[in-house]
Parts: sequence; C-alpha cells; structure tokens
Amino acid sequence: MAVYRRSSRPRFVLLLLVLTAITLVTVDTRGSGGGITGSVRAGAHDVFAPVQSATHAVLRPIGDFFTGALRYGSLKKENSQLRDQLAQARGQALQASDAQRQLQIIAEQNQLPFVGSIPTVTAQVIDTSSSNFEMSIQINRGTANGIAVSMPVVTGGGLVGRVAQVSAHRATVLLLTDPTFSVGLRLTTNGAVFVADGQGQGKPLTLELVDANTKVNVGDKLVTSGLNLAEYPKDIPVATVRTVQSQPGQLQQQVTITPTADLSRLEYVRVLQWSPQS
Amino acid sequence: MSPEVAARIRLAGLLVLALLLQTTVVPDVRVLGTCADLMLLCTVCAALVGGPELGGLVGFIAGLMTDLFLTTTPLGLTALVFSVIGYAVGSIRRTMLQEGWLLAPATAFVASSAGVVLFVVAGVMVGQSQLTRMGPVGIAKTAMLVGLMNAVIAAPVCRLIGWAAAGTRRAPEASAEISSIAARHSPRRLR
Repeated sequence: MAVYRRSSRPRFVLLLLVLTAITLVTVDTRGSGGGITGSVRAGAHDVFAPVQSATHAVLRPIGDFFTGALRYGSLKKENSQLRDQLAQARGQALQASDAQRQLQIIAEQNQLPFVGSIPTVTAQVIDTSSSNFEMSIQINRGTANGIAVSMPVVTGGGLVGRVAQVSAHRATVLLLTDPTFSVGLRLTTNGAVFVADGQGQGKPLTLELVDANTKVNVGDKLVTSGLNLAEYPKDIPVATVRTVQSQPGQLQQQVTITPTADLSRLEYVRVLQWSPQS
Repeated sequence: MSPEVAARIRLAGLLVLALLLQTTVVPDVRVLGTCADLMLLCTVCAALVGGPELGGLVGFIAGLMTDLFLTTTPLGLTALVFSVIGYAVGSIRRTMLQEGWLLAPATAFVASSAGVVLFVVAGVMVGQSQLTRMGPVGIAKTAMLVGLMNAVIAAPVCRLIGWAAAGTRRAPEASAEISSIAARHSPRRLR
C-alpha cells in the first residue's frame, strides 16, 4: 500500500513541476529575456533591494570584525599613520579650499579622458553574482537614474562590462569575463580589429581569429573598436595582451588578454548613457 | 492555524531567508572562486526530511527564486534542475539510505555536485552553451567545491528544515522519519 502511494503521486507532482519549468524556459528563451519574464525578474529585484541592503548593513561589520581581528597589528600601525596624515591634511585643507574649487571646475570639464562628452551615472557596487556560472555585479542605480539595458560600464581603469538587466533602483552589470560576453577591440599599435570573448571566472579573455601575420606582442594595449553599430563607444581602454602563442604552420595565433580594470575589487563604477544609435 | 499551514509558512520563510543570504553575503565567501549554493542545499534537506514530493516542490520553488536573480540563463532552468534533484534525493532516501550522523553531509555533497552538473547539462540542452566554457575540469571543480561547501553546512540547515517541515502532509508515510529526524536534531525534545 505504502509502496503504491509513493510511486504514483510524487511522480505526478514531479511531472507537473518539470513541465511547468520547461514551459517557463521556453517562454523566457522565446522572449529572449524581455517580456513578462523580464519584468517579473525586475520586479523581484526591486522588492528584494531594500532587504538586501539591510542584510548587508547588518552582516558586513561581522565580516569586517573577523578580518580586523586577524590583522590587528598592521591596523594599529595604519591607524597611527592615518592620524598623522589627518592632522597634516586638516592644515592643508584650509589652504586648499580655493584650489579645490578650481579643480572641481576642471574635473567637471575633463572627466575620464575616454568618456568624452557622453553623459555618465556613477553607481556603487552592491553585490557580486550569486551564481558560479555568471560573472556579474549589482549596482545601486536603475531606470529611475536613466540607466538602460546594454549601456557600457567603466571605471578609471577602462571597460568593466555592460548593463544586462535593469529595474527601477538596481541594475545587473555583466562583466567582461562572463562567458556570454564579447566585444570588438582594436590593437593600438597597428589598428588591427578583433573580437574578444569572456571565458569565465579567473580566466583571461581570448581574441578570436588572429591572423598568423598580424603582429601582436605581449603588453600591447587594446581599446574598443567603435566600428559602425558597435555596442561600445570608440577608444575605451579594455585590456592588455597577456600571452601570444603561434605554432609554425598554423593559420591563427592564440592570444589571451587581461582586462585593464581590476574586476575583482570594484566599488564604484560609471555607466555611460550611450547606445549604438546615439 | 493548522499545522500544515504553519509548516508551509515556516518553509517559505526559510527559503526567503536563504535567498537573501545567497544574494548578499554567500557570494562574498568564495573558495577558489566558487561559492556555496544555499537554495540547492535547502532542496536536498527538504527531500531528506520530507520525501520526494516535498523535495520536488521545494526544489521547484527554490530554483525559481534563484532564477529570478540570474541574468544569462533562462527563467525556469534552475527550477527544473532543483525539482529533479529534490525528487531523486527524496526517492533514494526512502529506499536506500541509512540513518546516521553522516546522512545529511554525505547526501548534500553528492546531490549538490550532481545538481551543478545537471544544471550545465540541462542548460546546454536549451542552448546555453556558455555554461561549458570553463571546460570539463572547471565544471568538475565547481561541482566538487559546491558539494563540499554545502556538506559543511548541511547538518544545521537540515535541522532547520526539519523543524520547519514538521507537520506538513506532503509525505504522510514519512511522518515517522520526520519525527525521528526532528528528535535526533533537537535535544530539547529528547528531554
């Protein structure tokens, strides 16, 4: 009797669940992430956002406590150094207030050199991806601040990624290293154009189809190509060449590149309000 | 409030808490670039405590909640994988597994690793070929690490789920198991 009960009902439930899941996958794939499923995801992000921030606010100090306890000696030394620097800085601040005003004006005119006249939104990085198969970060700005899907995201170091999903007050930025990421690049030394693909966590990006005759050296810089209808504006620094391997007789070289922006410790990023049409 | 409704509310509360931790602090604790998967662990524990039906249902809900916070994979993929894992663990638990202190960690290790691999396989079947970009070695490494980290925290999570699921009618013939597990995990009840 027990055997009979266990073999029928749970199986029926499983069948129902699997069919529902497959339907959802189909609907989402057909709508390519937009439509109903896209707005459901965005809604969930917005509902969860305040609770997530609160959780972080509560749990960060605990993590910091353990980090601090392990580094007590160096922190004490650093503390006294900082006190010293603070005293100096207070004095300098009085003299510097006028210089600072001037600097601010200059800075407003001259933002990041590669950004040019593109308007930007500065955002704080809140979380990293909760998955092991996705390289992304969450930022605390969304549609309410003028952010839209596929806008490029940069730091002082260069390109970080692009906005993959956006809700009212949150956005998910897909990093350069995500396996679904690809970007058109130009070698600054000779202007050759390539496509680079992300390879996942901790792995350098690779360049596609590098001709054996193209001169590529370790350390060469790569910037966004900005070709017609490219997804990114021109001349944003992206990466430096890390390794070049070419075997005799092969038509192509194997080239890996390292992003110039430090993707492992992102705190603030700038979203460029730019789209291929503009 | 009937015991079943109360159990459902407790389970839902635990899942929301797990999702909250998974999307905030869990990714900060990475070993060799890999973090634990609390939602998968909740599924495995629910299956251990409540059998295949509860395992499948909790797996579906936990997977769907996970999917809401992913970007590159389609909504429903994780739900599909987790409900299958929950059902499988629940079925095997009834027929094959022995009681013992090692039950929760060992099952969590095997089932979580299997869950990661199944996610990649199911993903590839619906066209998510980027999931295999890290190569077979990378996938095996990720599966092992997720399994290990989940195994480490399996015992307390199982105790919590056992407390939450006590009173659910999802698997009536498992009530003896639930009470035995609940008794084993909470010393207060033994007194």
